[in-house]
Amino acid sequence: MAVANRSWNLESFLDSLIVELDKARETLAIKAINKPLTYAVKDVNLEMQLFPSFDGDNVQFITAQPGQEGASKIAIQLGSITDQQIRKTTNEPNTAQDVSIDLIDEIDTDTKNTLRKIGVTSVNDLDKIQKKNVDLLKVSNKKVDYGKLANLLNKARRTENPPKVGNVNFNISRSASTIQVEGDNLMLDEKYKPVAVFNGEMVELISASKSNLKLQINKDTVKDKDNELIVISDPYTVFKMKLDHKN
Amino acid sequence: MSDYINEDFIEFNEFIEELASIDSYMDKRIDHQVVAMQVEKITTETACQLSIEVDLDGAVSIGTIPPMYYLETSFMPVFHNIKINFELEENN
Repeated sequence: MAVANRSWNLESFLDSLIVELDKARETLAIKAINKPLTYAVKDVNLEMQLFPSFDGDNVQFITAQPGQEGASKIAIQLGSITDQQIRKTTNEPNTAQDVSIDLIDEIDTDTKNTLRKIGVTSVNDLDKIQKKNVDLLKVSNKKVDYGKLANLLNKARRTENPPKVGNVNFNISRSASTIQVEGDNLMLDEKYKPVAVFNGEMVELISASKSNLKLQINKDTVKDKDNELIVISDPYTVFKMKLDHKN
Repeated sequence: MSDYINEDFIEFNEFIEELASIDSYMDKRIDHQVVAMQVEKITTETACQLSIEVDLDGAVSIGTIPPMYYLETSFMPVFHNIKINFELEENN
């Protein structure tokens, strides 16, 4: 149940206004099927009598009621734009590989708000500003430490995309013996080279990709049962396997 | 977005649709000839009353209505102002 005359924030109001305009546009588009000429909304200018309030973090508005004087006048102008303009002026939606900062509980609301103000809403956004050598500590007025935050975000991204092992094949030969691990998300970040330990010995990595790891092993260390393979693919991910070798 | 709006108001999208609901051609027969005209652009500006309501999740619903009464009273409603430009679209 909605309550009349409660304070609202501008974002929710604009969301609602845009949904209403979209609804009107859809109705007019249906009408256009039968009518040769219809009218499209070019722009809308809404001037409202409001009282703003500020609680230290957020600005909220409440509409003036009959008899109330001294309200502020706020005008909102909405123009229609094309899909191409939308693509140019907005961030791409977060992909499955990316993680929105809103979903990370370890980050407090203050930090989230500070990041949002500088346009960082996801882990990829943070990577982009890091590549441009932006000093996050400075732009956030010493509120956000990059290193600590990047760790939290990368950890969250890793949690969303855990490694999955499908098949493990032993390839034993006199010249070179290998183990091939197939699966998904075996490595996620190119920055880190996976490290593997087979039966207590560090082994050499021949190749590594998201879906495939190839490791060189010493064939003398291979047992028939209970071979242990530990892979550390980045600072947040360790996976351990018990493997039986069948000839 | 909240679904609830005060029953004295209509939804904002209906308000816009009402304003855009214009017959496409105006025609008049003059001396065995028909003169037809079409409106290319419409600019409409009106005072309106707004009912902005917020549900418990913070979602906002917007109801609006042009001024309902023309009688001056000691407590006048608050009038907001809305200006909308419509443009003709030819549909093939």
